[in-house]
Amino acid sequence: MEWAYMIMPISGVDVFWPGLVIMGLGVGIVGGFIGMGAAWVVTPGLNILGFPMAFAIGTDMAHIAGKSLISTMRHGKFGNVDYPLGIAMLLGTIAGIECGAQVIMWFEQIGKVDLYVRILYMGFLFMMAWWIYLDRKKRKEKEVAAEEKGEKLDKLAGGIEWYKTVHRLKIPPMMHFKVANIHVSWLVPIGIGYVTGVIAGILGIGGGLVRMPALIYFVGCPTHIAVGTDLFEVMLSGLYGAVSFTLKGRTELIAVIIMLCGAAVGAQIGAVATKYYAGMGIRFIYGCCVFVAATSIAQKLIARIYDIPLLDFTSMVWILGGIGFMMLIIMRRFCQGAYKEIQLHREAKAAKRAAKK
Amino acid sequence: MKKLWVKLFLLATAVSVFLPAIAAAAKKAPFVVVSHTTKLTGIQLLWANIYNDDTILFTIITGVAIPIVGCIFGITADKFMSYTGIDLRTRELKEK
Repeated sequence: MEWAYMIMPISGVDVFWPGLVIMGLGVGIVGGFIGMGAAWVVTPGLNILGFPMAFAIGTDMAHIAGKSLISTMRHGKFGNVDYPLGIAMLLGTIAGIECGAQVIMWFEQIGKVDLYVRILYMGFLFMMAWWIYLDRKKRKEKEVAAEEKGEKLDKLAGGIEWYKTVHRLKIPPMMHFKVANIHVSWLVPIGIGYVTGVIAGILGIGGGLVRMPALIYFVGCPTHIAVGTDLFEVMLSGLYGAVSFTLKGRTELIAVIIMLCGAAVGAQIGAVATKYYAGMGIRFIYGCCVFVAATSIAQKLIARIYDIPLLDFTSMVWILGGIGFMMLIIMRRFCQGAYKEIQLHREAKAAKRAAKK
Repeated sequence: MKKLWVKLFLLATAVSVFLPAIAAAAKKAPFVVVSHTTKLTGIQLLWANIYNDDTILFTIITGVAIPIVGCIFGITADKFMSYTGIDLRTRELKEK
């Protein structure tokens, strides 16, 4: 199986390159669907494949930039991208990512990068999963309350509506974002962009993991627009992060190109699959993915602290199996939806032809 | 209980804002990674030499290559997707 291993010229690591393609395909589908770079899979995944953590982070940033470009191109054609909102958030994100990258270099210097990054990852992932659970719970309560009153709840209504409080901030200049249909103070997108940028820089992620729910719960974006806009911003901030980590000598471009081969196909499938899901459905799948990632990192952390090698193995099986399962669910809905759409299209064409005759 | 969670969340946000300043204040010694070229040949050797000799050029090539490769792969995948017959221009709201 020597052909299946390739030496990476910068990090000097021998890597199972089909694993890179499969990982690219899987995270392309999941990331293109829930609107993020899925670095929470790729960074630990690259680490598992043998990359040192700092290289895993830098290489992942570069891969995120390329894959998000592909997804944004697709989502843009659906009208899911609010470009002005993405650019406004980017200004804060760039400052945040640079601060976060400095923190990583400090962690690396004190020799605690693996441990600290995993603890922070786990903490944020559990917090995101909790938000999704709370969102669904509150929406259910609203549905029950509306039924009791004999009314019907608006299908587009969500559970958590923290953005209503944020929108009360009226510090000028106010900005209107047409596609997302929101009117907010300039501080909102830039401030949220900065905080998510710091977190992204420290965790070595594109920021979509935190920014997607932030767009929904704090900015008030509809879910599909949040997915597309987030990917646009991830693309730009990922590119900036990639350049930043490359300057520090922590990016493996060859691994990035190999992963993009799979991601190109996956991102298309994931982006198109959003057509066949309601907003709450996309949020639910996001919550499941985040929960799987958090529990996987928890296992790895326990394995490291208590020296239990078995948990190292189970954490890898758990995350790859979990994300693989989510990928299959998304692909299944994609195939069902695409089949139905093509059938309807063919029937409509046949009806038109018959009408002409 | 709710107020306590709000306070903890605000504290976590404040730490994420101030942590970079703390990190910057710490003394940093340079931590340089050098690529070992003994086992490399061909384009990998060339790439590793660029990395070892000229970090700026290495960064520029990486920064330019990523969007170009992404565009090429994206347009190619888009082309194949267009042959499936799926409407790739519009999205009806699933909720309606």
